[in-house]
Amino acid sequence: MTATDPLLSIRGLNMRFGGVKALTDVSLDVAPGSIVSIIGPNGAGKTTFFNMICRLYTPSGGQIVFQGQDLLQSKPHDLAGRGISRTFQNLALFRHGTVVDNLLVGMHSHLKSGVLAGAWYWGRTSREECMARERVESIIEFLEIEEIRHQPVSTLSYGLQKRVELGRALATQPKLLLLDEMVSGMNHEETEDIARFVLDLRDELGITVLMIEHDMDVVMDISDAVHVLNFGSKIASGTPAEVAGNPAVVEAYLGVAKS
Amino acid sequence: MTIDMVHTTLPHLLRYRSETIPHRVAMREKVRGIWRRTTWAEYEDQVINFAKGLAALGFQRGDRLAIASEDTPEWIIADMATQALGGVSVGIYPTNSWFETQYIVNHSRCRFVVCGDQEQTDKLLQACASEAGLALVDKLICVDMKGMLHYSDPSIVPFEAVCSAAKQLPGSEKQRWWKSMLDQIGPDDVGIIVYTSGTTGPPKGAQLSPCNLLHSADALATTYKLDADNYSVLCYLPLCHVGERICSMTVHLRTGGVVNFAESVDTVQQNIREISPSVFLGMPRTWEKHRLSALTRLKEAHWIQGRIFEKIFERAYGKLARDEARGTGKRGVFSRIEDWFYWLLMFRSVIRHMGLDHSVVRICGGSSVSPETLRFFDVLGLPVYQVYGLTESGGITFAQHDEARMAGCAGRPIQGIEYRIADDGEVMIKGPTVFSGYLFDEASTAKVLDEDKWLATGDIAEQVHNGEIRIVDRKKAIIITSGGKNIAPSEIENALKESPFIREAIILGEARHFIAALIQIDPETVGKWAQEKNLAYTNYRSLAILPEVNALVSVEVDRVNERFARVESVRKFAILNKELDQDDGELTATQKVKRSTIEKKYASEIERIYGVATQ
Repeated sequence: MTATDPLLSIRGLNMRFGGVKALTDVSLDVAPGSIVSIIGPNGAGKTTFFNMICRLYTPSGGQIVFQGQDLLQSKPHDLAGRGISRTFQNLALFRHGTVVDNLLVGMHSHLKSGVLAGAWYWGRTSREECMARERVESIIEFLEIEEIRHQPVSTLSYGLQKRVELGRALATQPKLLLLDEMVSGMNHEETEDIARFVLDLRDELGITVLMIEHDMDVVMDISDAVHVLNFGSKIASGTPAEVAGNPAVVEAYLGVAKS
Repeated sequence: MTIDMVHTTLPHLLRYRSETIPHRVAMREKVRGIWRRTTWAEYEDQVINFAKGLAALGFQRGDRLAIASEDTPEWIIADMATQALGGVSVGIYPTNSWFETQYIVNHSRCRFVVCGDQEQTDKLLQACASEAGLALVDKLICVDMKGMLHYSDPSIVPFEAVCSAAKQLPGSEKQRWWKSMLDQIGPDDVGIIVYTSGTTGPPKGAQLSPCNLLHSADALATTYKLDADNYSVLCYLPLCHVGERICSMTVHLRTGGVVNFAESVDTVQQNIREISPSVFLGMPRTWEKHRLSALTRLKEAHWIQGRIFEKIFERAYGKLARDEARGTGKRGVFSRIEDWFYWLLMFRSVIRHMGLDHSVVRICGGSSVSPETLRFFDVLGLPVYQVYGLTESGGITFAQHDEARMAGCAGRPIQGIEYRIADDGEVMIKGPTVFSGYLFDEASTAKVLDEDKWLATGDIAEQVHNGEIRIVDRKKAIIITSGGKNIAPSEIENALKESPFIREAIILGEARHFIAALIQIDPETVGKWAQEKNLAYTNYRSLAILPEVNALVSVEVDRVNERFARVESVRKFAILNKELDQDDGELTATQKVKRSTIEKKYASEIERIYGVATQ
């Protein structure tokens, strides 16, 4: 694998639920260090597409290759260890845990100590815990959530909970981050913050980002490439400007949104 | 080894500290959740490294360096290094807009700017790209490079990079160079320029020498008996303001204590609780917030706890009044046991919640405050001393202390300060702390400083019998009604602001036949109140226009009116339908109301108040 090879390569992906074709023959590449957006109207198959990359669904046909390896051979729980992490469209946090607890959960795949060693908290275990806490603190600093680190997640505003979820995804130290509608339901300021964090995590942490997004301002501002899905097929790809000018896209998505 | 702590410079004092107590902690900063310490020796070393790097960039004697940053150790390091090189540092409020920042940088002719983070750097880059530009600026030295990896502007240099060259040098060589630098600076050279927040007109740059600053630091340390063992502060007010400079730099150097840096602006309240500083300087708003946060927490507590607090507070309040009426005589054993009992039962935990459990000296300054707000702390057994001073008078020039702390007054002059009250009531100050003039503005200097170096403060004050002064108001703020009555608005405004529901009040009445007020409600407390009353609202505006809120404020206004004479009572008021904001030019960087802007901006509201009444 060379530097120019895509980090994630998807070829001819199909998904069928009984007679319903959720996804038809979708192919796309995600270059390392890029921010790639997937847009499309409701029910276009975007989340299905994500769920297949995360191995929650097994595709009816096609290929998913991550860092030169066939991802379809992996089990869902192996993905964090292989460097893929995601956030969910609806929050999926441990509501009664504190922010730090939630982030530490994200570190799980990098902790090697067993239950017994953990009970004694000796040597390697304590070193590992310190290392994990240090990592968590660096994420807290990165996301500017120092103020709430000891608060239970359930007491936080929606925007902050989203930020914690992003933090937990970062705690797995991913190479590829999948963001599912990160800014939906956020106010303007929160949206801007998230957009800035996405850019920073690409620039500073070197993480590649694949995101589903409805907020066209965010998509146009920060993506390097945009892919448009409609009724389960890819109808366009290119830079944000190219996609915005594509008549098929305008009709299928942008046009609807504007009317 | 002892040295003259007044007639010297800040870098000399730093050197003295690092020689006499090199391994004691000078600063603490919370990074990634852990308080990390810097000793005096390390503090000096960091200053030397930055100074050396700055000199290598071409910084020369007499050059000016602006600092636009939140409070960080680097702020102080940059300031100290600049002064050591014979330069002058100019602080800029991190909340200033890009054009305010541009004005100050250009007006003071700065060649170097230290930017705290991306936000501050962006402002300078925007100023640079604008029409007026930043012609003289050579280098932007950025402390936190987060988010700026791809910035290609050639003037940007990371703070780390400036320091790195000197880190390689052997210690002895650095020390020799440092000594030669210190030999060239003196106590009477201008060391810092503090731009006044400017409630009227553009900001003016007050030039202060180390001697100005150290004189008041020395007086404060003596008055409050501060030393290395009992001096610990949290640096949280903007460092460009002379008040925080005094606490975090000059008194810090004078005593050899510890300065703590909050983790971020949002965590100040938490950090206060963790650090529990021994000395705490707050603006009136800070103390109001402290009080409110304690009261709000009590409301959320079990109702029995709330009731007990109310009862005890009432009793303690009455007892304090009786004790004071009896004079300063010794209190009996039973009286002390009673106080101790209140403390044990209730006040102890309230005080701990506010993070004031280790505080020895509590100071309130910046603007006038309602005595009732400070009374709350008196009752808890934590007297708050009021201080008075201007940027132009080198910060604190009048201070209350144990022997002089009458409610509503501003204390006695500190050692070495002469003052007199002019015929029109204006306070005039003369002494070693008074500044030398505004930068590039002799006309303004002449207006406030006469040939004999008497400083006209612009504040009206009264002499009180115990030697304290009581500030009435700003001279310009005094309202003369159409009936010819002189009224000091700030007293009424502060009384209104005692209410938890009123965030800001602006008294009107100049050349009118009655007093009225513009009121900004506190969205948090009024919002909570509305929620309890099941009133629907979405944002500040919708809250402000609710008739129920108007009735709520009306009750508060009536309560205040009872305390004032008839001519001084607020006959009408209007609730502002937006929150005042620095970005909209309504507040200064120190959150003071810009009266003239407001009167222009809300002219229609004001007309409505007076118009309807005249019909």
